[in-house]
Amino acid sequence: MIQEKIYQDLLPQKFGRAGKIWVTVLVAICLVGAIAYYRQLKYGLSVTAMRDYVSWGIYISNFVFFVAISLVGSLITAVLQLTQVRWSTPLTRIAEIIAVSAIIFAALIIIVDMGRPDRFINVLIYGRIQSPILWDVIVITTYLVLGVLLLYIALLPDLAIIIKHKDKVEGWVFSIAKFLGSFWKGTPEQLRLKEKSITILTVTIIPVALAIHTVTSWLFAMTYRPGWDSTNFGAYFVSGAFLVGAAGVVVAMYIFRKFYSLQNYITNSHFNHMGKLVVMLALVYLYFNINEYLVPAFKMKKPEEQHLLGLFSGEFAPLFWLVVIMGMIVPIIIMLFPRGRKPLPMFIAGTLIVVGAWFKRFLIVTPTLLHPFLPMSNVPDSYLHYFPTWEEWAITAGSLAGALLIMTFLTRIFPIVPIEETIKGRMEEESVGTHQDYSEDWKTRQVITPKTHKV
Amino acid sequence: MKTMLRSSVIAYISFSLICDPGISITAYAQEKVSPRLDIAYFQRDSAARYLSIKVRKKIGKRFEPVAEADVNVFLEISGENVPLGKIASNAKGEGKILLSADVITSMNDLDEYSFYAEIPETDSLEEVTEYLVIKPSRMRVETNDSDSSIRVMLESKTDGNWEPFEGAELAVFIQRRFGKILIGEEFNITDENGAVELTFDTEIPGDENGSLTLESAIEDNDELGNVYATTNKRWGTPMVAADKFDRRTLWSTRDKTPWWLLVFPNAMIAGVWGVIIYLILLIFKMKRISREMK
Repeated sequence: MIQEKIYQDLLPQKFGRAGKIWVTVLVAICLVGAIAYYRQLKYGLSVTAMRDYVSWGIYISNFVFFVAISLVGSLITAVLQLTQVRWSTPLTRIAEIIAVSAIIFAALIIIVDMGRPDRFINVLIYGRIQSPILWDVIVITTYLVLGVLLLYIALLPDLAIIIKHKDKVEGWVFSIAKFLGSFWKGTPEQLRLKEKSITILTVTIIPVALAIHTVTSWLFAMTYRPGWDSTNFGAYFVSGAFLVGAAGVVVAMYIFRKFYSLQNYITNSHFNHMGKLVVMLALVYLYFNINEYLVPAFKMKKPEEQHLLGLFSGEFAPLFWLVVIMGMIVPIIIMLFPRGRKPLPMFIAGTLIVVGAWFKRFLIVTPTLLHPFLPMSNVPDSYLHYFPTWEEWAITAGSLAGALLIMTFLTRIFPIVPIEETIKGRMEEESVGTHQDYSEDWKTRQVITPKTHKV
Repeated sequence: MKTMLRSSVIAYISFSLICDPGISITAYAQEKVSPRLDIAYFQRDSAARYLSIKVRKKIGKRFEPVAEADVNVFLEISGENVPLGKIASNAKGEGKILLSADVITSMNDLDEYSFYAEIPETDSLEEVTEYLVIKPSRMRVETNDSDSSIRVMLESKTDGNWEPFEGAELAVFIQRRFGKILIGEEFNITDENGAVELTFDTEIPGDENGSLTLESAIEDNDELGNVYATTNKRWGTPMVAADKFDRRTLWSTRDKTPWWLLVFPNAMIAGVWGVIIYLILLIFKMKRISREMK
C-alpha cells in the first residue's frame, strides 16, 4: 500500500499549467539566444563588447559558473554518501541532474566564446598538453562522462519501476525508460554490480570534480595578472563551487517540492540539514575570499592597486559589495538560525547565493582584464570599459535557460526522488520497527539517528 | 568693499608672481622667444656622419625644450652655404640630420667643415643662427693579438695633409647591448704621434665566438667634435647561450612536451578513463545477465 503511494507520488508526472508556461518561457529565451548566436556567427565576435583587453567577458564568467554549480553532483552524491550521511539520499538525483545539465552547458559556452567554433577540432588535433586549456577540455569531458554514468547507473532500478508501471506514465516516457533500462531485472548479481559501480564512481568522481574546478581556476592563475596571480585559486574556486552547487540544490529542492508536491519526501528536515551544510560552505568560502582580497590589499602592490581599488571603491565596487553582502553574509545570517533553515527562507538564501555566485564569477574574470600590468594607451574608449552587448546577454541567458530546460526535461522523464531507494528505506524502517509520521516529516534515511525511536 | 576686493586681487597677483615666476612667463606666452640653438658633429668610423641639434628656451632659471622648431642646416663649400636639410625638433627639442654619401664625398676635399644652422623667424620664435667649425679627423683602432694591446691612432687634416693630432682626450670601451664598459683610464691623452696605448686584460663574455667590439671615443672635442672608431676582436670568453629552442619546454610545440608533463597527466587520464571503460563494461555485464535470464 505504501509502495503504491510512493509510486504514485514519485513516478514522472505530466506538466501542469505552470510547467507548460515554464517550458515555454525557457524555450523562448533559448530561441532569442540562438538568434543572437546566429548573429555572432555571421558577424563574428565584433557583435560582443569584448575587445583587445577584455577578451573574456560574460561567456567565460558563465562558463566558470556552470563548472562551479556542476560540482554539487560530487558533493551530494559522492562526499555525503561515502561519509554515510543518509539524509541526503532523496537529494542525490536532483544533484546529479544539476551536475549533468550544468557541465553540458559549461562545455557548450566555451565553444560559444570562440570566434571560429569550426576550428574547435584543432584543440583536439593540435592541442598541447602544456596548455591549461587542453587540461580543461580533458577534465570537463571526463567529468561529464562520470556524471552521466553516475546518474544512469543509479537510475537503473527506477527505470525498471517505470517500465513496470507502464500504465501510470506516458508512452514516450515508457519508451525512453525501456530503451535505457529494460535489461535491469534486479537480480542479486545485477544489484551487486550496480552497488560496485556506484562505489567506484563515488570514489572516482571526487578527485575528478576537484580537478575540474581546480583546472578551471588554473586557466586564470597560470597567467600573471593582477587578481589572478594567486596560489590560493584552486581551493578558492572549489570552495565557491561547493557553495553555489549546494545552494542550487536548495533552490531546486524548494521548486520541485512545491510543484510536484513532494513534501513527504523532501522535508523540512532536509532543508535544515542542507541549511547547516550551506552555512558551513559559505563560511569556508568567506574565509577564502578574505584571504584572496585582504592579503593583496594589505600589501597594495602598485601594479595591483588599480585592480583592487576598482573592486573596493571604484567602477566595480557596487557589484563587489553587493556580492559579498547579499551573496555570502546575508545568506549566512539567514541560515544560522533554525527559523532561517525552513523551506522558504532557505529558498531565498539559496537564490541569493546562486545569483551572487554568477556575478562573483564576472568580478573574477573581467576587472582583472581591464587592469593589465602595462598601461593601456592609444586605444579607443570602448577598450577601456566592458559592458556586454544584447547578443552576449541573450546568449548567456539562453545558455542558462538551456541548462534549466535540460534539468526540467530530465526531471520530467526520470523520478526526481529515487523510488527504489525510498522504498528500500521504508522497508528498513519497518524491519527495525521505527515509528514514522510520513505526513509531517519523512525521515526514512534517519533510522540510525538519535531522533528516531523504536516502538 | 570695492577697495577690499581690489586689494585682495592685487595681493593674490603679487603673491603668485613671487611664489611662481613661471606664471609671469605664461602671461607673456604669446610674445616671441629667442631660442638657444646648439649644434654638434658626430662621426662614426668615417662612414656615418650626422649633425645633432638641440633647441631650447630659457624659462626662469632653467632651459626647456622647444618642440617643432624648424632648423635649416648648411655646409659651407667654396664660400657657398650648401643646404644639408631641414630638421623639425622633437618633443625633447632635439633633431638629427644624417649626412648623405655625396655630402661626405664633398667633405673629403675640405680642410675644415663649417656648418651653419638657422631657425627662421616664426610667430613664436625669433630668428637664431649658429655656427660650428670642425677639423677633419680620422681615428683607427689597432690591436696586437699576442699581448692584447690596443693602440688608437688619431689624425687630423692640416693644409690637405693628415697629421697626428696631439692632446685629444679619448676613452676606449667595449660595446655592450645596453651600454659600454670602460677599458683602462677614463681620460687618455693622445701623444705627439696622435696615439694612445692600452692593454686589454679583462675577462669578459663575448658573443658565441668570443667576439667583442672595441670602441674608441672622442666626445665634445672643441676642434674635432664627436669621433668614434670601432674594431672587432675575439678577446672575449665565448658565450654558450642557454638555447631552449627545439627542446622539451612548457612553451614548445606539442611534440616537444616535457617528459614529466607527458607521463603524469596522461597516466592520470588513462587511470580515470580506464575506470570509465571498466564501468561501461559492468553495464554490459548487467545486460548480459539479463539476456542469460531470458
